[in-house]
Amino acid sequence: MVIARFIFHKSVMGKPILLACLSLLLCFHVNGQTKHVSGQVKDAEGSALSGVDVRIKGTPNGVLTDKLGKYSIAISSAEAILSFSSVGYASKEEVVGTRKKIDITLLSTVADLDQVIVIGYGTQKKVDLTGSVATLPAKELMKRPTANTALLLQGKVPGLQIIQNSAQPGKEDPSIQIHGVGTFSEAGNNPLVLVDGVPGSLSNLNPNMIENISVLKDAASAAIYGVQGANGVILVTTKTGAKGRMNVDYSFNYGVQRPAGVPDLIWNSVEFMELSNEGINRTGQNTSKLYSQAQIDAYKNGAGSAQYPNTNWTDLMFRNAPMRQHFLSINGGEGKSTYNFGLGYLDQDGVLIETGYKKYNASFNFRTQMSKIFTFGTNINFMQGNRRDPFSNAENLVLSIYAQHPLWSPYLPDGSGRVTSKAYDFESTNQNAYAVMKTSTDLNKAYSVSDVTYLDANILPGLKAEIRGAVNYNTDRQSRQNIPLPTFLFQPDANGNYNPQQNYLGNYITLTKTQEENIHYTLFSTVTYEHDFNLDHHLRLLGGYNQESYSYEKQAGFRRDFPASSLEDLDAGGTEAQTANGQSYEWALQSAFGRLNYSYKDRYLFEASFRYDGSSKFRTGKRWGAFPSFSAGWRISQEDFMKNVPWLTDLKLRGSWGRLGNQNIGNYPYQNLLDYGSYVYGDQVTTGVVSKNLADQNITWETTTAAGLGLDFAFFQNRLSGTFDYFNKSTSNILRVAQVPDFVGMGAPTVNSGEMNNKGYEFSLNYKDRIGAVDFSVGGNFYHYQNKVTKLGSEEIQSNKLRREGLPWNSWYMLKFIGVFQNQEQIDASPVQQNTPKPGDLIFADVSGPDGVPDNKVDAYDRVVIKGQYPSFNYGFNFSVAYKGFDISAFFQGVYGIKVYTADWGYGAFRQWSPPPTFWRDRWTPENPTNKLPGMYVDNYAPITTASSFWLQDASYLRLKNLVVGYTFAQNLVKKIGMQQLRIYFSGDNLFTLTDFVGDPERVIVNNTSGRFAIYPQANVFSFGIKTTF
Amino acid sequence: MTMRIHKFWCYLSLIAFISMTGCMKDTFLDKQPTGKITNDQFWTSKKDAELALAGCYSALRTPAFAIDNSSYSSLQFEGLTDNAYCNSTLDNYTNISRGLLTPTTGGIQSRVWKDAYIGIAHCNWFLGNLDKVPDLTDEDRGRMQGEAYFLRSFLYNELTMLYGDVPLVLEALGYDQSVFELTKTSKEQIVQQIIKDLDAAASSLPNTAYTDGHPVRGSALALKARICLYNGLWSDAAQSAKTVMDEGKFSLADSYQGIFWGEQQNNPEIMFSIQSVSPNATHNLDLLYGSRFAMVPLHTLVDAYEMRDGSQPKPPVVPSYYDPNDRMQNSFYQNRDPRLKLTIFTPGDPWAYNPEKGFNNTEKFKAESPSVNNLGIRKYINLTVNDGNGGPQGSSQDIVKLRYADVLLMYAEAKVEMDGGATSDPDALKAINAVRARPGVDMPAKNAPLTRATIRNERRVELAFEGLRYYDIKRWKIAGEVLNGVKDPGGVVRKFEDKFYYWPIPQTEVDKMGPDFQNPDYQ
Repeated sequence: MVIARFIFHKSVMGKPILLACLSLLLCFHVNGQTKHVSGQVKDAEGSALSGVDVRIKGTPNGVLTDKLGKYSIAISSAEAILSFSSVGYASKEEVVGTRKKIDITLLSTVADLDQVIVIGYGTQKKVDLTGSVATLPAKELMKRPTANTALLLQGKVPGLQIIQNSAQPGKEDPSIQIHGVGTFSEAGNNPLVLVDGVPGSLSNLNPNMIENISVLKDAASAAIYGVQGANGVILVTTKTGAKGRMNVDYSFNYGVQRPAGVPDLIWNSVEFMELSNEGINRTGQNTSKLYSQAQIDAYKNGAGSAQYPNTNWTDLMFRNAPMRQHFLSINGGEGKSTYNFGLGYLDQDGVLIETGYKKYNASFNFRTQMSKIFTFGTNINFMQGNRRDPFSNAENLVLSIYAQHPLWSPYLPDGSGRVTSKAYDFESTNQNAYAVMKTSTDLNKAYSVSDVTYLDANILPGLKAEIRGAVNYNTDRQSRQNIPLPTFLFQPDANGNYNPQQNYLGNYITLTKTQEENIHYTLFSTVTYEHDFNLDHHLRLLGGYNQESYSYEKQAGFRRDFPASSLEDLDAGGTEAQTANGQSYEWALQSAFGRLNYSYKDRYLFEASFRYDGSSKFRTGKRWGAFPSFSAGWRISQEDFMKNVPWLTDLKLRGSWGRLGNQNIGNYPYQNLLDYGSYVYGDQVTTGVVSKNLADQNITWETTTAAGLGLDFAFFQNRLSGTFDYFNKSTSNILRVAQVPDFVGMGAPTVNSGEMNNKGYEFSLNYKDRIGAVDFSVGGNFYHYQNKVTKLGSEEIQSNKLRREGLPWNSWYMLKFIGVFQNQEQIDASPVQQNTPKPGDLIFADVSGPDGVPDNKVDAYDRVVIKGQYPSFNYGFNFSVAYKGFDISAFFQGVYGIKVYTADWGYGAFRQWSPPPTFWRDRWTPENPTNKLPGMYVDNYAPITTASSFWLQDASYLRLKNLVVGYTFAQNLVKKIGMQQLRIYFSGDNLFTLTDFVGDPERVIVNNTSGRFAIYPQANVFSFGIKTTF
Repeated sequence: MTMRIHKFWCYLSLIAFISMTGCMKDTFLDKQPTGKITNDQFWTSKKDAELALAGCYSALRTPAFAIDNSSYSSLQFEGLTDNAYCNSTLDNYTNISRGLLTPTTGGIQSRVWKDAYIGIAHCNWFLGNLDKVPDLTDEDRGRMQGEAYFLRSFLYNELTMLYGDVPLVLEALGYDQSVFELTKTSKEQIVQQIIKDLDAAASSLPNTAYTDGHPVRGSALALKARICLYNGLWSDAAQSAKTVMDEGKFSLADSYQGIFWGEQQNNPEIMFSIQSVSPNATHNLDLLYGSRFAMVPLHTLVDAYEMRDGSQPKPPVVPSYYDPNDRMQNSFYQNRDPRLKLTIFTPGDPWAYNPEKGFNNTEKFKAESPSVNNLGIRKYINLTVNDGNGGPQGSSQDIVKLRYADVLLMYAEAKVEMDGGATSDPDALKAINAVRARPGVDMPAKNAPLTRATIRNERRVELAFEGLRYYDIKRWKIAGEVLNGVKDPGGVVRKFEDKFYYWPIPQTEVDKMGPDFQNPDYQ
C-alpha cells in the first residue's frame, strides 16, 4: 500500500522510476504462478479514462491506466478481485477468473452531483441548487436528430410541455409551456428564452452548437428575470472550444418525413356521390346539389378512368419528403484562446408539395484570456432561412385540400393543362389546392444576426465582474405572388366543351412584398463576490444592472397587373390599386437585480434574489415593480447521521417562494390610441379616425407568486436518481381584456383583473447500471397540474368555452350529446330540441333550464362543463442500452385526458362539401341504428353541427417520439483512417402512436374554438446519420 | 500591493461607471407610438373633426348594413322575405328564413347588434368630443352634429326594427360595473329620441341635393318619414315626406336601372347611400349575386309585377317553386311591368356571361354557380362584366339606403293608413303615379281610391332588393302569412313564428347581461 501510494504520488517523477518499480513487482511475482491481466477502462460515452486506480483487492498492488485507458497488472490467483476506482466515477469490482483481458466501463457520478448548472446570470453546482432547474447536456439533447431546437426538449423535462403544431418546414412553431397556463393574457405563456445570457430564439439556433440547456421552472430560479420570468426561463449555452488540439467535427443526417395524421377521407367518386345524396335526402337541404342517377352511373361505368377518376387529393398533395442536414465544426484552443466555428446547412422538403425550407447557420464563438484579470469573448451567429410556405396560409390551403372531391383531377383530362374547379355546375367546393400550389407562391426569407460580446474580470480572488452586450437583429421578407387561374368544369357539356368557370385568385398577377425587422439590444453587467468564512460558511453575492430595448418595423407594398409571372419587383406592376402599409413599435426595459447565496457546512443552503424592473409598457408611476424570491435547501445526505447509510448518495429537500411579473401585453396598452377607418365620399377614399378601443391608463404588472417544494435523491452510487417537485403558482392582477357588452361599441381594454392558480407536481426517476458488458438506463417523468380560475368576476362564455371562477380557464362548455334519435316517436317523447330534429340526428340532454331544473327544452341553459381543456397528466419515458459499440435508445411521450374540438373539414361530413372521413361509413341509418354517429348530413345542418360534446374528441396519446440505433466504431479502428470518433445511427420520429383520436392528436387548435381539423400535418421521420471527429 | 489595490479600484469604478450609464432614467422607458395618436392629442382643428366624422361613416361599410369584400352582404335581408331565397348559407340568413332563429344562431343575427353599436359608439365619441375643437363655426358644428345624429338614428332604426327594445346609448360608455347594470329602453322611447335627433339634423344640415355621401336636410327628413311610418306615426310620416316633396331638392331619376348601377353619381333620386369606389374601396356584389347566385329572386316576387297594361298577371303563372323540367319557359315573363326585367334576370334575357343564349341555367361561362331556380337578381348588377370576380376593378356600386321614390311611396302609404286603408288624396295618387310614370317604366296611373293592397304591392315591386321588404312584411304583420308553408328552392319549407317579429338578443350579450336581458319570447 505504502509503495503503491508512493508510486502514484510521485509518478510525476517520471516513467522510468514507475516502470522500474513495476518491473520489480512483476519480477517478484513471476515465481508464484502469476499471470497478466490487461484491458482498457472507458467512460459511459466510450472515451478512454486515464489515471484510473486498478488494484488487486486486499493487497497494496495496483497500477494506473495510461492515456489510452489501458492497464496491465499481474495477479497470482484466479480468485483475485480487481477493483477500479477514479474520482468522479462509481467504483467497480471484477473477479478475474480465467480472463486475461478485462475491459471496464465506469459510470460517472460527477455528471450528476458535481455538475455545474447554468442559472440566471451565473452558474451553480447542481448540489447547491435550491430552486427547480432542469438541465440537459448536448449529449442528451442531440439523441434526437431534428431541425428544430425546441423539439429537442420535448418530453425530456417534467413540467415543460412542448406541443409540436405541425411539420411545416421552418414553421413548426412548437408551443412551450412551463408549469401550466399561467395567465389569461393570450400572448403571455411563452417562457423567456435566453441564448448565452441574452434574449434569443430557439429556432434560429443550430442544435449542434448547443452545449446545454437549463430550464428554470420555479419562482426561485426565475425571479432574477423579474417581469420576464413569469412563464419560466430557458437558458441556452452554446459550445465554446476546448483547449488542446484542434477538432474537426462533422455530422450528416438524411431523413425522410412521412405525413402523419392525414385524415382518411372517402375518395371514391361513386361512394362520395351516394353519401352526398343520402345527406341531402335525409336532411331535406340543398336538394339542388343532388347528383342524378345518370351522373352516378357515369362514374360507376367510368370506373376510375381519366374522365371519371377517383382522385385521392391527399395523396396528390402530401408526399414523403427528404431532409438533409450537414454540420461542420472546427473547434479547439491554443494558448489563451479557444474557438468554435460552426457551419450548418439544412435542406428540408415539406410533406405538403412545393413547400420546403433551407437554412444556413454560421456561428463563431471565441474566447481569450487577455490578461490575468480580463477575459474577452464573443459569440456571433448568422442564420438565413429560405422558406416556401403553403399559399395564403397553411390552414386555408390544407382546408382546401380536404374540400376537394374525388370526381375531378387537378387538370382537365384533355391534357391541355387547364385547371379544374369542379365536375358539375351545382357543386360547392374550394380552390383547387394542387393548381394553386403549383403556380402561386409564398416565399419567405429570414435573416438573423446576433452577437453577444462579454468581458469578464477576475478582479480579486472571489471578486468577479462581467459586462455583456448583445444585439439581435432579425429580418423577415415575404414575397407573395398570386397568379390568376382560369378554371373549367371537369365534365364537358353536351357538345363536349369544357366550360369556363371563375378565375381563382382574381384577374391579375399580384405581388405583395412585406418586410419586417426587429432589433433587440441588451446590456447587462454583474459583480459577483464569493467568500468562504472558515470552512463552514460559504457566501456568494451578485449584483447587476440590465437594460434592453426592442424595436420593430414592418413595411408592405402591393401592386397588381404584372405583365409576367417571372417579374419579382414591385416596380414591374401597375400602379392602379397599389397599396403601401407600415407599422412600428418599441419597448424598453430597465432593471437592477441581486442575489445572495449562503451555505453552511454544504448542507444548509439559502438563496435570496431580488429584481427591480421598469417597463415602457406602463405609464410613469405604474412602471416599476419589485420581484423578490427566497429559497432554501437541506442536503440531508450530508448530515453525520446519514453519512453511514451506504446506499444513499444524495438527498436534498428544497423549498422556494418567489414573485414574478409578466408584461407581454401589446406595446402601448395604457394609452387611449385612436385608430383609422376609411370611407368614400363621392369617388374619393377619405381617411377617418375612430376611437375603437377603451384603455385603462392605470394598468400595471401582472404578478405571479409561486411556491414550491422539491426533493432530489440519488441512491446506490447514483444508479437510481430522481427528483420530485410540487408547485403552487398563482397569478394575480392578470392583464386581461375586460369583458364589456357589445352595446358599448368599443373594444374592451386591457385591465388588471382576475386571478388564476396552477398547482401540480412532477417527478422524474432514472436508473442506470451495467450488467456484464451491457450498459443500460431507464427513466421516466410524470407531470400533472390543475388549472383553476380563482377570481374573475362575472363569468365569460366564449363560443364553446366557459370562463368561470372555480373552473379551469376556458373549460369546454356545450350541449351534451347523448345519442342518436332512432325514430319520430323518440323525438316526440324527448325534450324539445333546438332545431327540429329528424331520425338520425343527435340527441342533446336537457340538463337544466332558466330555473336551474330541466324544463323539457334544450337550449342555452343546457350547456354543460366538460373536462378536458387541459391534460390530466403528461408523461414520458426512455430506455437506452449500450453494448460494445452498439447503442439503442427510445423515448416515449404521452398526454392523457385532453379533449379537442374538431368539427369541420377533414372530420365532419360535407363541411363545404368536403368528402366525409371513412369512419362515417358507420353512420346511423335505419338499418344501422347506432347511437355513436348520426345519419349522413350536409353542410351547416344545425341539428348535427350545433356545438356539442359529440365533436369533442379524446386526444390522449402515447407516442414513440424517437428511437435511435447507433454504432460507434472502436477508436483504434477509426484512428487508422485519421478519425478520432465515428458513429453512425438510424433514427425514427413518431414511429407509432396509441390514441383514440381520429387524426394526429399532437396538435394545438388555433384559437381552440375553430374546430378545424385542417392543419399542416405532422410527420413521421426516418433518418440516417453519421457523426465524426477528425 | 498598493499597485494591485490601485488597479482594483480602477477596474471597479470602470465597471460601476458602465453599469450606471443610463441608469434608472424614465426617459429610457418613454416609448411613444409612432403610428397613432391619442385622444388627448386630437381634436385640435376642423380637419380633425372632419376626420373623426369620416370615422363615424366608416362603421357603415360592414355586411350588416352594406357589403364588403367578404362573402357577406346585407342585401340578403331580402332572402328573409317572400322576394328572395338565400342559396348561400353564410351569415345564417337561410336558416333564419327556415325558422331556425335562436339566441345562438349567430351570423346576421348577432352581426347587426354588434356593428350597429360600433357605429353608435363612433357617433357618440364624435358628438362628445366635438366641443373640444376650437374655432369651429356654428354652421360647421351644426352640420357635423346633424350628420352624426343622422347616422346614429339610422343605426337605432335598424336595431329597433330587428330586436325591439334595446339599450339606448347616447354617450360614450366605459367598462366598469355600471354598464352591466344598464337596462333596455323601450322601442317607443328610442323612436322618440331619434325623431328628435332627426329634427335637429334636418334643421342644421344644408338644404341641398345629395351629392357625395354626406346626408343633407332631405336625407334626415326622409329617414324621419321612414321611422315614423315604421312605427305607425302616420301623420308625422306624411308630413315629413311632404316637406321633402315640397322643398323640391330631389326628383325621380330618368333611369330606374341607373339608380343602382351606372348612373349613381349625382343621381337626383338618391337621398342616402353607402358608398364605394374602385379599385380602392370595392365589394363583391357582382361576384355574389351575378356570378355565384348567392341569393335569387323567388317566383312569388315575379308574380307581383303587373302586366304591362296595369292588370294583374293571369294564370298559368309560373309555380312559386320552379318545375325543373320546364325552367326554360320564358313566355310568362313577357309583356309585364318593365321593372320586372330591370330587377330580375329571367330565362333568355341578355346576359354578359352568355351573349349568345342569354340568361340560362345550363350554358354559362364565367358565372360560378347556376341559379337554383333560373332567376337572377339584375338590379345593382354590372351588366358589362362576365367574370366571377365582379369585373377587373371590383364592384363599386353604392348601396342605396334612401331614395325619392321611397319618399313618394311612404307619403302615399301614410295617407292610405290615415284614411283607414284607402285614400283619394290627390297628392297620394300623384305620388304613386309619379313613381309608375318614370321614363322606361311608364306604367298606367292608378285611380282613386288608392288601396292598401295597391300601395303595398307598388312598394314591393319598386323597392325589391333594397332591403326594405323584411321590415315591411313585419310591420304589416303579414310575415307569417306570406312565408309559412312555402317551400324554398333548397327544398325546405319556410317557417315564421310570431316571436320572430323581434329577433333574440345574441346569446353572448345575454351571457354578459343576465337572462332578463333576452327578449321575453326567447327567455
